Amino acid sequence: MRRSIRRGAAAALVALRMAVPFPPAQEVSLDALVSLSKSTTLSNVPLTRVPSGIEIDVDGRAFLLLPFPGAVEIELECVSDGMLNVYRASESGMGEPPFRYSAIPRGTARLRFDLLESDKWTYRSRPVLLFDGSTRLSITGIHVRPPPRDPELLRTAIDRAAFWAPESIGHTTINFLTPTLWSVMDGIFLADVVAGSAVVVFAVALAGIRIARRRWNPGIALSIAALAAVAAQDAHFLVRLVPAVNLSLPADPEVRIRDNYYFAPEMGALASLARATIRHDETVGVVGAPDDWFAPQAMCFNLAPRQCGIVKPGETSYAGISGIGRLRLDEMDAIVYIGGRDPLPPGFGPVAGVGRRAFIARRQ
Amino acid sequence: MTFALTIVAICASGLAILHVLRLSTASRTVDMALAWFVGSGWFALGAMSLRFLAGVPFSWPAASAIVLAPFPAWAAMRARSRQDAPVSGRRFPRPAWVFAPVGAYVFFILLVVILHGANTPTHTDDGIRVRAFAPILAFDGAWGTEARGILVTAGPVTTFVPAFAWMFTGTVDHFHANYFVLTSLIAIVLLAIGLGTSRGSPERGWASAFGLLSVPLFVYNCTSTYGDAVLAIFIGTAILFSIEYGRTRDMGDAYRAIALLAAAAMVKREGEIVAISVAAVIISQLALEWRRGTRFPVLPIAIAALAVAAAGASKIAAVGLSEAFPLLKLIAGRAKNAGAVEAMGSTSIHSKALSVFWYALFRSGNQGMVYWLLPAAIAVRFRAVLKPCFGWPLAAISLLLAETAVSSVWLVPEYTVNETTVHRALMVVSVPAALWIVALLTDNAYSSESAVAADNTGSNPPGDAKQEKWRQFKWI
Repeated sequence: MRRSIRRGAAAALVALRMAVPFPPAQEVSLDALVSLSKSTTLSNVPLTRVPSGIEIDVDGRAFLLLPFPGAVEIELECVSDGMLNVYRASESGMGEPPFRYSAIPRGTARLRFDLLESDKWTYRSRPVLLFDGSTRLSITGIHVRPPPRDPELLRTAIDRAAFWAPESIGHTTINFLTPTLWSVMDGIFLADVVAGSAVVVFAVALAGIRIARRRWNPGIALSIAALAAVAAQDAHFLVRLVPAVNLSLPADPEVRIRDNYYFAPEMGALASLARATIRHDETVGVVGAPDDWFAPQAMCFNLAPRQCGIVKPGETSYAGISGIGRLRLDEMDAIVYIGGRDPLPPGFGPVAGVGRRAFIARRQ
Repeated sequence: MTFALTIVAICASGLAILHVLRLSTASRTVDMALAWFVGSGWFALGAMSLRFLAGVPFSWPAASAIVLAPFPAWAAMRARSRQDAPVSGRRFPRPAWVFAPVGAYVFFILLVVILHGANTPTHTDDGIRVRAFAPILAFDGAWGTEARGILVTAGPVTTFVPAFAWMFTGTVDHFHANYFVLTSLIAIVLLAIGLGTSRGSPERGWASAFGLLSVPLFVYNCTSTYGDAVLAIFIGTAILFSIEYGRTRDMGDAYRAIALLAAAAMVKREGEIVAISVAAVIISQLALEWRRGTRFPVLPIAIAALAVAAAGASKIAAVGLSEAFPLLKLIAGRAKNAGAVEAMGSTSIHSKALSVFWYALFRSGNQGMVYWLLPAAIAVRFRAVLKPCFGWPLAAISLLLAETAVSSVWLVPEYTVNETTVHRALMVVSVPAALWIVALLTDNAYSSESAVAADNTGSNPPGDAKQEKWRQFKWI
């Protein structure tokens, strides 16, 4: 009983967004972080201490593991000189959807991440920030909020964070939306709760109609219950969908391609640049990272109907999307280089770009 | 926005076909929405047949010829064109306190889908594989062997219709693939609302639109360029008319359903099997009624069959018989290897797939509350379900569900277990099922309300002559 009351009170506190008794956020010593990174693996790239903070050279993907197990919130202050996305995850839930990310704009930014939204958060798992792009990032400050001491409060906070978290649009969203759970901690699905509630509404409506009209009408009662159930599910769907979608008035198609590749901003910007600078009668090769299934093909798609081939090591002629068309290197007028690891093919030199590893090259 | 050219041309062509086939209705809204679907099917069939059966390249003259072809016949038939008598009735659903939020939701979610869909470039593997890339191949006319494989997977409708305007402008605007999906969504919403409103039940119309837009994954897919939502939309329109036929006994509604299914057969590689299953149910219904003395519509069915056969022949001409129907090939391959696969101990993957399928239906949230409400509606309104207006469409939906279950659990269990296709595959069932549930529930709510009104006044509900006509036939 006491436990239920405590859980209910905690839920109400979090749901109403009142002053939740979470411990205050603590400032992370950047010096300590850099020195710890020398003895422990905190990142796949060196953390360089500069007067303004920590500098990270992001070249593709760089992760930063923060040594604060159970942190529930991170505030990141940074300065970026290019386009970058940052994914946040819990160490134990990395690599699985939902992929929660934010764009780091050029210039100074302050971002706050609710780690309880991330999958498989535990007291022991450390927060991970994964930076995706190619730019130099200066982290000027990090604040970390430790977990609350009250486990009931924490359980409720995790449930509510997952329940209200906006949909995170990524590659897999087309296949399935993030599962909707009423309680992550207890494994209760929202659909089960809504269906159960609909049964109650049905019974009440049935009884109400019987009393009011002196006859049974299960059909009307079901209509009422169905409307209530669907409305509840729709309301939740809207709350999760609307923050995730782009509701601006559509701009020129070129601007949309440049700006609206939400989880691949550098690819979008480069595609836009390539479309503007490569003539329709020119043939194009695209060089990408060996493990990147998306960017090279999406680049060819955006350049279509220009003839396009994806340059892969060890081949003499290069096919385009889905193996369509074949181009030899000597037939290519331009190369679009997006996050590749191999050097440019001989005879080509960069002419324009949007990042260090995102540029257009032409024959020299 | 050059896609307006596509909308105008396809709808005009579709309207002409509706008049030639005497399928136009009393409602302009319904006709315009219907024209989009029928016109899309016609244009895709024409472009595909010309290119692969007659060897005529897809070009602006060819595109013009296809959309203009129905007009001479329309002009010739116009004098004796049949038109349903316009129905004057309530335009707004009642009670307002229920339908105002319903209408607000419909408008808002449509706005969200249109804005996000129009803003978002093709950002998944769709751009690099099939649906969004197929129209560019059509524009380019580069039909090499690999490209023809893409045509078969995408289907003629999603290949040729988005490319229509490009043939006149000479440039590719990649967003036309998005606009095509969005236009199809707007068309089905207009069709649902228009059909209900023009036939005396605006409540059914608005509730249908609400039900349709309450399938979350369907809503999200409409912001993309994938074909699953498009196929669900085409099948959904056919189910709407199948339900209408049950109500009105107007043979025109059965013809409309069959015409829409012929168009649906040209969406995605699964389109043929899905559309033919639903058509088989409708034709069975018509055949049963023919045995009881009703006229059997040989000609409309023959025309639809001819269209599907022409599309099939074009595919065979494009890729050869062995590659033209990849789904059949997949089924045959799976059936042949079934024994061997089970001997290797893969039964567990089928049981895993079954459990994921169950989760997809009821718990994942992707299909909304559809599969909870479907059995509830059947159980509560079982006697109504046995009536032809609901029984036959339910048979079609059951067949679709069975096909999807077989495909997800037996045919491609690996894609069900990793959840890459199972939720999308279910949309083709969820959309018709949502429309059917709404029709069943609103029929109960408003037929009892109308009956009370008629009892009280001794006359029909105001302006509801057509509803009385339904009632005469509804319970046979």
